[in-house]
Amino acid sequence: MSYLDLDNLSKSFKDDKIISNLNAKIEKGEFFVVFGPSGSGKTVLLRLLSGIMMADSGEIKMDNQIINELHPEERDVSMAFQNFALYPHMKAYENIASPLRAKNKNMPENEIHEKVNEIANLLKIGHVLNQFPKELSNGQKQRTSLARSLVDKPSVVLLDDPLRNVDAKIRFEMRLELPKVLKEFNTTVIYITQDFREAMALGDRIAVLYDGKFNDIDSPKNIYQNPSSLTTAKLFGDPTINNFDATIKKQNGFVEVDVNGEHF
Amino acid sequence: MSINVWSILKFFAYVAIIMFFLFPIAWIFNMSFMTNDEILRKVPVLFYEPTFKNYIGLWEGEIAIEGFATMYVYFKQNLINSAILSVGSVSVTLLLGVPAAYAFARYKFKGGEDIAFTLLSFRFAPALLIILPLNLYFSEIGLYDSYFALIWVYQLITLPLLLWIVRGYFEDISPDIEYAYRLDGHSWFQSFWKISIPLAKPGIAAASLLCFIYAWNNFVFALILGSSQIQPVTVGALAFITASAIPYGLIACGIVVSVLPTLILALFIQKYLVQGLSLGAIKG
Repeated sequence: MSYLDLDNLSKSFKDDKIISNLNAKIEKGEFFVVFGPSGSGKTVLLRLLSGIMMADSGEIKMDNQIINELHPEERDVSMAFQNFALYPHMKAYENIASPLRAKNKNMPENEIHEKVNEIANLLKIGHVLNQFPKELSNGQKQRTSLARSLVDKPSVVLLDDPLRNVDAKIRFEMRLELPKVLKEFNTTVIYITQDFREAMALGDRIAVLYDGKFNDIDSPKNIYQNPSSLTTAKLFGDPTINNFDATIKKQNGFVEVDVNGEHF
Repeated sequence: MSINVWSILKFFAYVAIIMFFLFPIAWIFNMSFMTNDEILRKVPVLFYEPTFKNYIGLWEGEIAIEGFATMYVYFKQNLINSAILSVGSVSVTLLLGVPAAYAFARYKFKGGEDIAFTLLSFRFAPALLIILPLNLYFSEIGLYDSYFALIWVYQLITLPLLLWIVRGYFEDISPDIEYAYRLDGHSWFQSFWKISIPLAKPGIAAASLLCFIYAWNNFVFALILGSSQIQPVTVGALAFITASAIPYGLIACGIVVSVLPTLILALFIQKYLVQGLSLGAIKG
């Protein structure tokens, strides 16, 4: 039985179908990467899962419960935003402590302190807890936002292209570090990216999103080696793969290929 | 050398501009410590013995002007009225305007823009245009001469102002910040109270200050819709000018006292006005 079950999910804006009849089954503890070109509806999908947007039709089941109609605060889901979305008037410490203060109203201050420091040290931002977001570098902001989404150990963590707004060096470091950190929490991760390298490096499975639905859902290796369509194949690889028209014939036990009059 | 000449010219230009704006205020401040005699002297006196007679007279409600009979003023009551009307108006405006501004900023609903514009259009109509019908209605339904009625009418001035200023500030806050707070497990109201309002605070402060100034300075509504019992300083000051005498010192003194609350409020609110807190919150 899968943990997160997306069943015929659809969402459109006016006449624009962003997501149409999308299906997926995601296992508990899985690192599930949603990969697709920009404008393919990745962020909309995350917003449906988090409850920021409501689906037009279809079902989202979590642990066998339909959560379609639940408000964001009622779902056991956290999210790290592409633009970090830190609270500018609170210090990094309070930013990270926010989920703890909301969900466990009676959590004693020393327990909050302990948890915030634990996650901050894990993400190496222990030294910036007393600073406001505007005093942090982009890398630190991004770690703070990650810490906030992980501190309360939610069942599902949604990461909306978290490495997009950080510089190349940090992105490279985080690509190695992130899976390790997330493994410690044993949480289900849905990770959105439009960088195929990131998708290949991080995902247990990759779902390729375009035309409003998942066209391939498979392990990185399988997708890379056996893409289901030319569109998927083109999305992986830099520079993109070459393609050309050819005629393939089987003759005398050999495979013959005709390309623009050339015979192989 | 040419730079030096420029900077000297600039210095004098600044002095001239500052003099132009500040001199009347400084002179009124000066006048408030003079007797009527000293004020009316042909060659203005710069050195005189300051007197607090005007202030004492204003406070006690009666003042003897040389050569004339004793004058009675209700300035203290006017000042209290001004405070009640302005604070009341701004409070009602904040209570109604801030949630309304948030709604206009965040939610697109049918006719929303039209409603917002209609509210703004209240500011286009000259006060004199609506004051007569209002006067008739208010007399009819027994609202004439009450604080409630004036505070209500003041909303025509203050509410659109606050609504349109604060709306812009709410629009500048990324909705993602509010969503993030709700995903943390807070309710909608908590995110409004703990995220949206603090982030829009500079706008709310600026708008409140402007509303307060508009309400404090209002003259026409209070003149027509209230008796001397509830009239503010702007109208009350009229009583200083009588057929027998114009006590300039007393008027100056009244001006100084009535400017003070706005001035103090402006200084107090200044720190909120310059708070650029949302800078750096969102990757732009």
